[in-house]
Amino acid sequence: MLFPIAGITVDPIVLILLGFTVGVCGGFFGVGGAFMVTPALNILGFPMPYAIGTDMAHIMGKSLIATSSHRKLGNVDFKAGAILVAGTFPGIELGARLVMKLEAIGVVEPVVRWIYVATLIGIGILMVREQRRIQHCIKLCGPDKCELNKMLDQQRISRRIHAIKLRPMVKLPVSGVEISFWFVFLIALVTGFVAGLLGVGGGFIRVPALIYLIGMPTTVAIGTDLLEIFFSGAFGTLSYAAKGRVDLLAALIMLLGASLGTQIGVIATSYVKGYKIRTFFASTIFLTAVSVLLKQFKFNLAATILLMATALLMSAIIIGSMINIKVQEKRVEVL
Amino acid sequence: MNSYLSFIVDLHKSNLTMYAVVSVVTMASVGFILSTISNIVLAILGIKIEKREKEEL
Repeated sequence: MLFPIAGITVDPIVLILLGFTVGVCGGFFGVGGAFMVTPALNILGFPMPYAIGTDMAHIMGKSLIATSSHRKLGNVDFKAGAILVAGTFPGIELGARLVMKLEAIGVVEPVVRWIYVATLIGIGILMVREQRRIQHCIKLCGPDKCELNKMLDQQRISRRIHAIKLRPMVKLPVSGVEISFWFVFLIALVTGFVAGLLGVGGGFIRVPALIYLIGMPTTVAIGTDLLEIFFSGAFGTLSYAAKGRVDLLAALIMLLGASLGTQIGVIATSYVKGYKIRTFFASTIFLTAVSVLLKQFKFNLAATILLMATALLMSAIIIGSMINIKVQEKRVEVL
Repeated sequence: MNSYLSFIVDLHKSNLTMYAVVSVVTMASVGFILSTISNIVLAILGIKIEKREKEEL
């Protein structure tokens, strides 16, 4: 099928599958999963600025579906959300303008790809280290003590930040913290810049920042981030579309697959414990980085196969685990 | 559907500001419609999204 705006031909089934698999992962882990979509669209043939812009539009539509499901699970700090939105907008615009500059001098493809590779490998390593630390802690102290240690770790950095009284100070009652406005704004500005540059929601940086730096409870951080992603996605779509770099048709097709995938991913959170398959998720991130590298070195077919197989495998693991647990529950009920 | 697609393509060529507004409105509307449909389907199937009892590690 021809996508006249981006000027390329792609099978729409592949786009629906991509939306579905990323939706499952995103719905399950509470992140948008957009870090896989921009590289995937680029690997499928979309020029990088179109891949980023189209992903932004896809994120926006999908965040509505994910937020409507996740609001039943978590909380939203609207006051923090408003400050985050205010900081994210200029950040996204800066990122989008940098992409346009890079495009104008003809280096946008390799530069964004290498930034992706570095970001994905960095996040993957952090996830594996965190996972090993937790497993080691559980072995030594048991899950309850580990939970307490993790909470103390989170509070250690945020308490230092709370102690800096840089005016104006803002009270965030839902999160239970009082903090300088500028710290929240700065986090939003930086994550907005990354979002605008890479075409992602930025949740994979913003959620840890809200937990460790602001001191938000995890559920509030996820809920607030989802609200913020809708607005940042909308602004990113507006910014990139105004520059002519959004393929609306491709975004709509992916959204069809994502609407089903996201719901399945969110439902799976009620059955499957995330930490059990978080290592697989880290592998997904590493394999996405490898796919981007393959594309950079012109192994287009290998890059496409690896990325699609990775996304499908991760979704299959989540759905398979959910079905397995559901079957076991039924057996117990019968007995 | 086809006429809407040709409208979008024409708009992309002629007026990018309007194209940007239409893009945001379209994605928000379709996202909202799909979200509503999937919530109705889940309700019909009797599937509930439950909060985890304890925050995970």
